Amino acid sequence: MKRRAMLIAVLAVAVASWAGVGCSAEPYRGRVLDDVTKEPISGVVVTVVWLRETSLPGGDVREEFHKAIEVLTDSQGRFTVPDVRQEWTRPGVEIEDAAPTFFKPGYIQRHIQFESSEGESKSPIIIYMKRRSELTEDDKMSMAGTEDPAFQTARHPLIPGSAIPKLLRAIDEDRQLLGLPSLPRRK
Amino acid sequence: MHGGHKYSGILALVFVLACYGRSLGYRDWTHEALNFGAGARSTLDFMLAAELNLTKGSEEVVSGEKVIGWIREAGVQEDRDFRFLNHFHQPLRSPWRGAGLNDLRTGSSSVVWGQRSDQGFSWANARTAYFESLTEPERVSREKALGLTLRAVGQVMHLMADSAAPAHVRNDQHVLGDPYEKWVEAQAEPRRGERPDDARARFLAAFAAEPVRPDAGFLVTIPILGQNAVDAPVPVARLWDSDLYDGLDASVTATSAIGMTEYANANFFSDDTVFGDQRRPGHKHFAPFPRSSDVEMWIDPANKRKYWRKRAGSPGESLQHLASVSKRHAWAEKAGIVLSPKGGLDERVHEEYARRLIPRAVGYSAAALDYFFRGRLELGFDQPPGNAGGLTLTLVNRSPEALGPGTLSVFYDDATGKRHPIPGGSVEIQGVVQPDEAIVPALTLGPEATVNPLIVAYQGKLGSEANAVIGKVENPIQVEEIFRGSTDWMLRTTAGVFPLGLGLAPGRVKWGDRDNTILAETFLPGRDRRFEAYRIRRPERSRSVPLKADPLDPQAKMVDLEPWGPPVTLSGADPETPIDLGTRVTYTRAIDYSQQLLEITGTFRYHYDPTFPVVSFFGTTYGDWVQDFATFVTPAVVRPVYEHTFTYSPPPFSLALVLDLPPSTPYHWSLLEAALNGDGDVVGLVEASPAFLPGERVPYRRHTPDGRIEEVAQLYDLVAYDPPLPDTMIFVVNLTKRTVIGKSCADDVTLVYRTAQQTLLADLYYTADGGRFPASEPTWINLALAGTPTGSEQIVGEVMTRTGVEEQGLAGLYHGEFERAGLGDMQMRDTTTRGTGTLADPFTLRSAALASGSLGAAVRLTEASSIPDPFPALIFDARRSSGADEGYTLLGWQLWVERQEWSVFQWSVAGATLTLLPPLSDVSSAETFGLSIAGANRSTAAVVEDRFDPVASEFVSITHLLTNRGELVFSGDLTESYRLLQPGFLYNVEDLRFHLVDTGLPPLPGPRPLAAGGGAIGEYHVVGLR
Repeated sequence: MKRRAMLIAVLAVAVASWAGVGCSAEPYRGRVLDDVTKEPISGVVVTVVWLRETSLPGGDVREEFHKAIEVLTDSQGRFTVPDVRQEWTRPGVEIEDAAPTFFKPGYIQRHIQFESSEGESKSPIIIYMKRRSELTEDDKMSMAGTEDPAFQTARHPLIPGSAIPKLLRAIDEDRQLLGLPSLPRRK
Repeated sequence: MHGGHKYSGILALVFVLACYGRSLGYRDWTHEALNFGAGARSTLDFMLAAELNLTKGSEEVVSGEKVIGWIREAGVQEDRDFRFLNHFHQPLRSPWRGAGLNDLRTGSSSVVWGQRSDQGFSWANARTAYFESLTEPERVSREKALGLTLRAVGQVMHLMADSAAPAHVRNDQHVLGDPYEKWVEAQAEPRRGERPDDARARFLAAFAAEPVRPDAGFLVTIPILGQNAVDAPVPVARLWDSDLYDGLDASVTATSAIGMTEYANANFFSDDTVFGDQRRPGHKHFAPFPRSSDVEMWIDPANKRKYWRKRAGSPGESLQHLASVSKRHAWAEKAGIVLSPKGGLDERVHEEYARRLIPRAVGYSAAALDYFFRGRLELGFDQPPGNAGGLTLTLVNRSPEALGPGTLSVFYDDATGKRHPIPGGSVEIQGVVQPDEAIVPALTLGPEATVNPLIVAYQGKLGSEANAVIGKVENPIQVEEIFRGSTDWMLRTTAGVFPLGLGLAPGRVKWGDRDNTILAETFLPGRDRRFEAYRIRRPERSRSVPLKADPLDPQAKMVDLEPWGPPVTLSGADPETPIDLGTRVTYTRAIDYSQQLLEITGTFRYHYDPTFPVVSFFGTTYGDWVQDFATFVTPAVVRPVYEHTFTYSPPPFSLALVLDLPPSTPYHWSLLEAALNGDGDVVGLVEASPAFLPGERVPYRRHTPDGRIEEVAQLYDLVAYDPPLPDTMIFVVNLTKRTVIGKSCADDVTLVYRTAQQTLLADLYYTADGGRFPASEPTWINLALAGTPTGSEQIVGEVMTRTGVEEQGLAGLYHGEFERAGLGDMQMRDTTTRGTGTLADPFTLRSAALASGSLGAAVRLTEASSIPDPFPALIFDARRSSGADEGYTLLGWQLWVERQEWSVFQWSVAGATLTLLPPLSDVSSAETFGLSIAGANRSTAAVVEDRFDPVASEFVSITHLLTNRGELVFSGDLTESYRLLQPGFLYNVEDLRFHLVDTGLPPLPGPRPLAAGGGAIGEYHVVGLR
């Protein structure tokens, strides 16, 4: 009996060690507004990508693409993305933090408006985007040398192009607006 | 509702936050506070005033925003857009261009980002903007450029602050928001109803009261080589990454001679990198330290949770809450399974991290700011005969590093503010000019150089920084001293010591508000004084000393002075018309006096001891009566023998500076200080308060030996009409115009005091029991009442006490801004405290200790108090602190039964405002005997506290330096060596240098030292400010 209890304890520790437990089971929600007019922006491509790490014999780990979800904001600028980290994975696999992007041709994401909560950190509630044509000199100065993470997602070697079609299409449209060629196609 | 749903909204929002901008790094409130704190602890104020002639320091408004506002706001701006991706640096990666965030998201190393010229707000951008702020022709363009300079430096400081967040130095992008940074933000953000300024002050006081500054040396001694020298060549990069930590020995990181990222990387975990040493090398979250083998588990008794802490002697910082022990590890431990340490980060961990990291974030950010403005040039002027109307300008490199090669140009502003290069005012520095060396050749400038201000801009190499900029707005700040010499009052400058030609008749000579004016004060018979204003024949801001021949000795020279207006006396043209202070006082002082007699009955036996030593002033004799025993009848009886109310109520009187006040005058006044303002008027600081008047004599009532009670004519009690409070009224008087320009009280003041005074005497009715002393018949003897009893005590009965303040009414004592600031009026009644008395040692008639033979008895009251609790807050001391707005520093005092409170205010007469400075620490104890304002200027007050040290059994002095940023405490009287000079300089009269008002009072470059031959006890001022 004592040995059986020990075995259960060992298994519990092992499972807890290898499985990705404790992740949020709730979807992510938000809203995108125009920075100037404060009107909702529909059709913004919200792309969330997850990578995973798989432990290999000998202590090595392999990082690979796990999943991508793309949604468009509705007429009120709202979006909802489920958190796939609640999904069961086999022991030894750990799904990493999500990496979301917001993208719409002709727009630039500017800043987040937060909602203050007593004693808690701020929480963002609204993502503000601005038409590229309305950027001020100060905006451009602040953006100098930076890169929209959407492009990093589009170029990432572990993320297959087939998993993020909406984002790639939106980036192509944006580049057309700027008179630039499309991004090279990836599988 | 399911528990998880409750947090779903927050999680969703945190998700967005985490990905876009504000999550990565300390957040808005935190960054704003850290930049503000760093700006306040830097030399920025001094640099702006001394080098750029922006005399309000960080409060100066530049392009629509205060300087400190630019720095503070920059802390927020750097997180806008996608800039946050470039706020990471992994110190163990080389070269630095590959040390940035390298995860699903990637970014430039913060060390490289901070020096990239293409990103808008880098070190390089700041340098370019700073040069433009010195050289652009149009004022608007220059101000805009200076604003951009401050913003860019502030955004670089943001990168330093982020480097004190472990996630930023351990490649942990932490998409769900970094828990440590969220915890810090929760501490920094305002609570409900809290003002942002107050929240910032609270946060900085809690976590950054003692910033940790980097050792200065490693910044310049470790060269930046190879690719790094291309990507981040400015040595300030060493504040981020010194390259001293190589991942093999973390002990090098536990000092202040290490880069911020190395310190944070080697000693702290981020959420995804707890025990990152257990990852394989090369993994994106691998970090060799803190090491699993260096930790041990312990239970924090405060919350009964298990934590990992560093073992004693393990390398690096010693942390008690390095990580919490994970449940998984705890389960394994219970099951007897040995696992490598596993853990997480909880609030206790966050707090200990913050207490280590935030002081460095502030100190290192301040160091980065100081490094930006480290260049110093000293200008010297001469007017050689051959250069009609022009000047010869000599320049000395007062920077801590060599300068050159580079270009140096001199400009001037015309009356419209347009900036022009001065002909002859440009020089190419070909070689290297070491610190304190002169730049040669000196520049010969045309007449334009006499126009103030002159602006010098240097662009070139400074130390190892290739494109440094040094700015100097001709701000020839120098210190001058007036001191009393052996035959004359003397002026001491950098050029020499010169007689003023005033003789020694004036008792005091001091500087006026203008830097070329002097006030001589002569004490006349009675209380009169004469004030004579003089002007040195030189323009304001001039550092030169014009000399003229001494009329008594044409060979000798003296300072060329001219009287500035006629002399002023307190008596004025008509001594019968004193200066009216404009306040009428109604004063009532009543004292309820009572005398009680304590009657004690007892029996004694004595015998004569011929060997008993009797010590007196004349020596020791032997032989005295010694008590064998004493018995008493208890309780004692208390008998009231005299009661009367004494009242003093003079007719209402007007306060005036009457020179010969008759003894019966119910008030007194004194001139605390006189100053010469910018208009040439003499301004006096006057205090007035009710006088200490003679009281009434009340004879004691005592028993005669046969038991009657009668007055003892030669022994009496004194009932004094002293005001029980230091109810000081403060007046600022223009002694020249004989008008009051500011006062603390109303036009009508009513002061009512009613106090109780009780005298308790004790008499003994005794019967002798044998022996020869005293007389054999029962008789009364008057016992003396001593102070504090000694020896054993015996309760013999209840003694009703009646002392203290019974009624107190202060109407109009403090008025306007004083009343609004909490000083003030009050009405209070019946605070008399009654208590039970203890009759102590009533029978100690003879003892070795009391061999004088007097009868001893004492009453000690328990639970007695004669102090109203609290007293109203009152003005205790005052000192002039600013001529610009006729400002005064005031010391307020409030007494409570258990403690006393002291408050320091800044009073602006012109603005009619009273501003409370930060609280004085630790002055409420019984050891504090008194405080006084020993020095004050527009930004700082020096308050010296006298304290009794019970351990050393001696009085000591403690100096509190108060600024609007906080308090610094020093042992001893700092004002013996330091003077607070206008507008915000702390000057040491011994090393003749300015010092920063900060921990340790670090010396600052300049001013040029005074010539030898003066006395340290003199009147100092700063000359050359606009």
